[in-house]
Amino acid sequence: MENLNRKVNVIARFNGTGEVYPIYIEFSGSLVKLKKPDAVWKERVGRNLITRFSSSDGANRYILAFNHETLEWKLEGIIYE
Amino acid sequence: MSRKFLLVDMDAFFVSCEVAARPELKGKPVGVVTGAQRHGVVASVSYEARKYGVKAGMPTYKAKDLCPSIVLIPADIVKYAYISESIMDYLRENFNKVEVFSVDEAFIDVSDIPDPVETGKEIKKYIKEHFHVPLTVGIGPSRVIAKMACELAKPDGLMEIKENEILEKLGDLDVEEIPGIGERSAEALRSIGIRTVRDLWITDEEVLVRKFGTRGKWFKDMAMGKDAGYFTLLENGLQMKSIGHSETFPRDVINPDEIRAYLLYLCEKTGRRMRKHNLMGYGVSVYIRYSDFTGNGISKKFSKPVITSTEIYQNALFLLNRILEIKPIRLIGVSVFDLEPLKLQLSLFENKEREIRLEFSLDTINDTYGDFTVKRARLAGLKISHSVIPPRGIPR
Repeated sequence: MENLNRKVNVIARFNGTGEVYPIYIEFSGSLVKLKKPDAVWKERVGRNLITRFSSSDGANRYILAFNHETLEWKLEGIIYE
Repeated sequence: MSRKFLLVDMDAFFVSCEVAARPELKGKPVGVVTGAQRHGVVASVSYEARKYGVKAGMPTYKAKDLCPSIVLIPADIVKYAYISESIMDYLRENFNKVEVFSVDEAFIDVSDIPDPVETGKEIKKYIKEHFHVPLTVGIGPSRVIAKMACELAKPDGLMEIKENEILEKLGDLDVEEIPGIGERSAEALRSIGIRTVRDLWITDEEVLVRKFGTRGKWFKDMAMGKDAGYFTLLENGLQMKSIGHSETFPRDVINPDEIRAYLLYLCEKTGRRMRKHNLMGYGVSVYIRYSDFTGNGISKKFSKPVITSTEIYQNALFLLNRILEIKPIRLIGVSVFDLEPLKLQLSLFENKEREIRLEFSLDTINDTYGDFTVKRARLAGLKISHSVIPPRGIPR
């Protein structure tokens, strides 16, 4: 995995059943369309709750992290398949 | 009414979590690695990699030698803990008597469920659909039989062994297949002609007790499908016998200051977990593994309780100095045993009260702002990893 840990802009879907997940990220000047995440997991770091998403655009895999305290999205890394 | 237990056991759990997060890995040989690059050890292996002879506990270089195409992934304990907890929550919400046995195993008392096989199928379907983790279900009249049924049905299977089928289905298995009977015990049993579960059935208990003491009775009980050891602890409520941590270093360490710093780090982590569970201990043990894979361990019991991280460190350092050889070290482990609930008896505390309060306060700060936000100066600059796997039978 290429570790990036970079703040990114995200368009997320709120699907009405309590599920929230990223569907687009802005990366390297372009908008990348993501499939529904294959896995979602959470971690508490001190008072921050972080939700992580493992999403694919069909070619590469993106590990995204949403910080519930700061409302920031980070692209933690890309796995080139 | 006769009792019935159902064991839910996730297959190659850490690997399965990674494959769930990266479905493109499905069908490929995959291993999850703990420890630093050079010193990495394979903690979990996919069934595809097992065909090449790769086993859990193997150094990564050996896994690569056996299976050059293996995909090795650094362990992400947070991910596994979260998925495990979510699965256990689902089980607890749907069944009354759930006993979490380890991060990837849970027993359910299904004595009052009319069709446990159907229940097992439903559990498998739900977990696969929602968590994408394959699992095997074993059902039996005791936990030990459910466990053995599960092992026979792996991977991704379901098997029930009824009371009257135990000997028929398990009789020919090697004694080493009985949970808790390891290589050494099996060897000792073989030395007196006991090779299979059936052999243990027909051997008189007195013979076993004469040869192995109380453990002989335990061997017989387990072979007959009577829960013992760990399994009865589940019945009586889990009890922690020890708490400890170990660390494989990113590189071999020989500098005494660095060794002491790592030891202090492990003692801090152990102390923090003891405080979290309100425990104190009456024994400390230390284990070292050198770069040549030789190792040594030492433990000591104390008349007064070990409570604070400082006390754990002082005792661990004393023990370490007794066994330390001058050669590069790759791993150190520390644990505190003979645990008891922390009692606020002034006679035990003497002048420790201030120190205990200080450590509890530091825990509160670190719980709020993240692990090791406030730490001892000696730990500054120490390269540490997040590599603790919740051990079997110990609640997180």
